[in-house]
Amino acid sequence: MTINLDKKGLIKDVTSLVIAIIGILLLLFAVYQLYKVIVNGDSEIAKKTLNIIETKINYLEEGQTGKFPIIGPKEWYLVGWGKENIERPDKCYFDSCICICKGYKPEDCQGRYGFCRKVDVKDVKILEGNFEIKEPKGVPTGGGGNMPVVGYEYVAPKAIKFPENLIELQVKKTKEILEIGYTK
Amino acid sequence: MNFWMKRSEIELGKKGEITSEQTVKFVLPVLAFLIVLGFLVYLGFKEAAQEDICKLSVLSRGTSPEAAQAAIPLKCTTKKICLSDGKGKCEDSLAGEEKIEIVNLPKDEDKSARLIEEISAKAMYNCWQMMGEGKIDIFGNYLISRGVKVKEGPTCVICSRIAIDKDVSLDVIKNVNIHRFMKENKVPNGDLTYIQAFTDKSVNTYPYISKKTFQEKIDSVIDKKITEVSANGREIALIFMQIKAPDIEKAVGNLGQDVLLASGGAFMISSIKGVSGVLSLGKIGLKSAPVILGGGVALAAFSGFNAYLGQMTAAGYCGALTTTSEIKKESGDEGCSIVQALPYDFRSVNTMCAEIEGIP
Repeated sequence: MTINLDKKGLIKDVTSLVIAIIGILLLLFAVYQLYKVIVNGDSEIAKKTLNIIETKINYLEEGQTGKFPIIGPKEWYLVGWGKENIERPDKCYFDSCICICKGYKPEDCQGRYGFCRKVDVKDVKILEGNFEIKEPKGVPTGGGGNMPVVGYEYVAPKAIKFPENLIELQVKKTKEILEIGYTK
Repeated sequence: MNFWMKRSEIELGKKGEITSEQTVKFVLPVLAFLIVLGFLVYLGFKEAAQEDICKLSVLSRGTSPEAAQAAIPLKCTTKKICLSDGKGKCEDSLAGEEKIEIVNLPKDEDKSARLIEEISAKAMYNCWQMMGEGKIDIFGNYLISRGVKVKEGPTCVICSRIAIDKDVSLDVIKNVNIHRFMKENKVPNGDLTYIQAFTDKSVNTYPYISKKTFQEKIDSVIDKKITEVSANGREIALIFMQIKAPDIEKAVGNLGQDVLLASGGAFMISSIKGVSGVLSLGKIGLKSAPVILGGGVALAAFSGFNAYLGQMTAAGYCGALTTTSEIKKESGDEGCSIVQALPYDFRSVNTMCAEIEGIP
């Protein structure tokens, strides 16, 4: 292959190159879109489920309670934090939020497997969460010799774990608090 | 040899370089393809594209090697249809849902009933087709490939949800006759009636199989029966269910002797108007007790809707499924698949479905 150094030839080559690059980029974009269509299952369900919950919450008037069946990504969690809760994920910024994440801890919601939406209330309470776990958090302190290791106690927020089939969410919205419970 | 001849026919530039003309000739078709894809994925990400994507994922699941299946989720999005009198938007059922197809029913009650029949039958048929007419093992291989044991209860996909707006008169709903519609009308882009398409060409009368007989056979290998499902809402879900059981062939194989099963393992369930044709494919490990919702005044108020629900005939297939050798070892290659309507209520659906797949 030769490179044309004359003006006409150079324009021709550059045009070909630009078109080829655009073509390749578009092709890569298409492959990525197809990948997203074929794979990426649970995250997509999580986003869709969260969108539905958010819109249903917005649809509720103050003081109203709504019940609706919903399907979430299996083994993922619905969690929520009030705006004054310092443990809330950074994704929530300065707002109260509800999140669907692969785990129930704030850090689980921070990564790519966590999706959050802000809610316009002061506090969010997840009712009848199906577990409350106490587990050590942070670097254990004390210990050494025969001294027992003393760790910080971490109380996990109440969370709703999505089952393999339908769950009925119950949402109560007041001016200050959003309460989310469930039956399954 | 042929290859080299063709190679020589390719027009190359003076010194073998690829010319702009050739680049354009290559890029244009690629661009055209991408534009079409763009329409499919973005602009036209509506009914047709979604159904195609669902079919593609079902086929990929059913035919891919087991190792590859873990990476293939079912990309079947639940379609939401609102049947309205023109004023409401089914807020009681579908508020906050995305991409709702609102169908405005005509003022004439008869025409409205016919339209409800058409939409319901189409939704049922589309569901059946998208899921490979029940002959593809959609869930078994996938679960094994993800390290999960095959479920003992049925796995389901909610193909569509049909909500009837609260302002639509119950008289319209009571006038719906889906059986007649399926018998007299042809499937979209086909020469067969709905009934023929669900079973086989030779069949054109009701009933094919009685709910009771089928249920008894299934219960003999699986579990207790569910007697009745009634709704206290105005929304149904068209659900595809599939279950695998090694002895299913034994149980349903002799249904033919009862002159009830259509040939090839495909069948339809008759149901008397007003009585639900709901079937159970077994509910091992699921919540027990028959699902009877509503009651008293509530049930009376929705009796028209229950009649509509009962009209939603179930169609299915029992027999060999397309599967791989690994799953055959685990749970055989026999199974039953059914598409039927259920009230869109978590109790009703969960009683029938151990697991639900697809995109809400």
